[in-house]
Amino acid sequence: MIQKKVCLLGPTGVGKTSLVRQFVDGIFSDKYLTTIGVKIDKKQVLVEDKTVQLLIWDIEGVDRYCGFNPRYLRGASAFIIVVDHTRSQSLLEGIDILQSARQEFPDTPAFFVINKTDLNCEWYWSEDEVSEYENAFTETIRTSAKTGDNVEFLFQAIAKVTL
Amino acid sequence: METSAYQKDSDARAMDAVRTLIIGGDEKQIENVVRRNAKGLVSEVVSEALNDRETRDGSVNRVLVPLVEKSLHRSVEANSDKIVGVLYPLVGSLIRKAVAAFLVEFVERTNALIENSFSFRSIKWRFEAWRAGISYADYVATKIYQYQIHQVFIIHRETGTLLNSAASDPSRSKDGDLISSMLVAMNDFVADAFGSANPEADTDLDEIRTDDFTLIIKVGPQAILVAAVTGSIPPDVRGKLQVVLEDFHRYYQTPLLEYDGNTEPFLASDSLLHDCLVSARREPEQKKKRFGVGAILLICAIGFLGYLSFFRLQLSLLMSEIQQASAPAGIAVLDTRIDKGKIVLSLLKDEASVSASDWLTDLGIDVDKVQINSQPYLSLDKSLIAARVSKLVSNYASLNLQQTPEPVLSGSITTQDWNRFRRELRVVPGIGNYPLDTTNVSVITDQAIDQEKALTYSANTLMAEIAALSVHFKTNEASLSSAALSTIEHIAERYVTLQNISDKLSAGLDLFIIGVSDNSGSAVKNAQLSQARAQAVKRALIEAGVEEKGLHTRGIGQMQLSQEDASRMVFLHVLLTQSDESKGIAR
Repeated sequence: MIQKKVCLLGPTGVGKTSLVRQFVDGIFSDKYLTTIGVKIDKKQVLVEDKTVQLLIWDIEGVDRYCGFNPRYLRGASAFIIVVDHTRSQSLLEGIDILQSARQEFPDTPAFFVINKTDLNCEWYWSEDEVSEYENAFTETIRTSAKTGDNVEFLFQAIAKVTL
Repeated sequence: METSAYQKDSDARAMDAVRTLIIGGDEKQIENVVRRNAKGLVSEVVSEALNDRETRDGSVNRVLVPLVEKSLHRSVEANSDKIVGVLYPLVGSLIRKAVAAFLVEFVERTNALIENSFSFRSIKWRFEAWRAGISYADYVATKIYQYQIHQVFIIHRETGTLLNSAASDPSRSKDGDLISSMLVAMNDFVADAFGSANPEADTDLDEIRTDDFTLIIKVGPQAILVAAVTGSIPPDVRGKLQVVLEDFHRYYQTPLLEYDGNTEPFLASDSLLHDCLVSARREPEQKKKRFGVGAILLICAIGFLGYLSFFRLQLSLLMSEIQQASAPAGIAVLDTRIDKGKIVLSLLKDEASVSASDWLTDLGIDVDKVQINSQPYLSLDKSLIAARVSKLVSNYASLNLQQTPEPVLSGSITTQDWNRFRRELRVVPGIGNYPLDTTNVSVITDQAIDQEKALTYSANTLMAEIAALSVHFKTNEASLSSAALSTIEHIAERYVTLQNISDKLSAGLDLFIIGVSDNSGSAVKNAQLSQARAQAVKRALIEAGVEEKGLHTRGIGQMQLSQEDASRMVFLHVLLTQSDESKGIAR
């Protein structure tokens, strides 16, 4: 069996843990519980007749007071930077996080996930501006942890890239 | 054919001549060309060629190793400062780990020695160590350690993914994937939170302890070995884990360096990991101990049960003794039983009887072993009635009571005291069955009493005496016992006297003979029985000399009296009616 480590990063409250819960357990809860440290889940994905076990490291939200431990990213086959399109600041924070990660791991594929698409888009970034930021990533995927929209697709795409 | 062969030979010679003209006779031209491109050509195939040759006969290593050693030696000599600078952190870390492992082992052995040095067991162990020909410290270690390695994980250090695992009981093995990742995450956290400023010098977890088990963590360059252990782990087991980790690195160096998430190359490490699943339980000794403790408990239990049985037997004998003994008058034993290590004696006791404790003491029974539950009751036993009368008489100094053969009261007494005495005598329980002869008592009158008053007084006295007498019957019987006939004689004697007095007073005299029964049987039957009892008494009175005139019988059926035995009886009521006046003197 092939195992791949995937790290979820992003500002606090963007829905990283909810994405994992939706993907692993198929559950969504409105209740907000902040992640402390790191929480690890696993799920097997079938890609072109190969079973890939994704070990998903859900790393605590990053904010201006609390950075992330770069050691957690060691050996990761992919990063997922999650932002929330109802919060403009989360995009900038997500880009900062990517840059921090890139300092030590410049070649690891990074997925840009714009979450909470079930809610109305409330940031003032134009599509062009967002597209510019998207260039720094391997792929951009818009998801909703609540409805499950594109969540399975996201992890399938990651599994495919890591092989 | 010959022409053809000649032709070929001629062509070959012509080709040689042309080749010589083009590249020269000593192939200098080709050599020059090859030499010009040698670097590029060799660099294209050098790795593959070395690999192929090494695989074929291993000669590459034989050639290269001396060359590399020689080069290294020269390099160390020439650049010793640089090499020391590079190796220092690595060597320092290795030395630290080696010293730490030695210290842990030393401290644990020392602790064990201290704990076991000053006891009988230590002397025994020293003797056994001497017999076995090993050091005391080693023997102590083998005796005190009791442990089991339940599961072993080998984890890729960088990614935290599980490379392989082995469990002593696969059905109880934990989810190794998540445990591996979390352990690496914890290691990262510890390194980040508590690590030194030097990013190259990692601070690694060495051990995680819980109440149930210990996780021993051995960190290598590419892989981490984790053992889940219960019990106290001897130092040599830690050393064994370290050796297994080093072996793993040696055997799987290439797959570890090329690891891309595929765990298949590490499947063959099963046997290596299973070597770690060691345990030391000292079961035989434990069993012996358990047997020893069990035997002691069994002996204690048998002893305790034996004591209980003996004690119970003793109580049973005492209880049997009480049951067989005849209770004194005024004590009626209701029940005897054994409860909570004592004989419980339930009884009815008349106030006038001897105490239950005195009775038991007379029987030679230890009163402390008996719990007495006593309830009061009135006994109609003659001896107790006699005792009550005797007690009453003792209050009157001028009266004297003789109990044998029949109770006779004698002495002189004033009228006032005599009346009081008779009132008190009437309320003595059971007095109806106690025929007290009072004819020898001389009553001293204080004043002259005219004839009529004297007669009336006598009549009242006789009526009171008759009222105090009652005739008792057995259950469901209307026949008269000898005691009943005796009572009837007393009644007849007094009533005949009363008839004489009533004649003198010209008063009417009636005797109501009232029959009563107890509650057993039907109400109709009891009404008939009570009537029959009244009739029987009437007939007996007539036979004893009483005139039939004025005798009235009435059976009033069942009556609930406080003393149930007393309800099977006939009682009497005398009515003396003055002829000229409507006043009646009734008793």
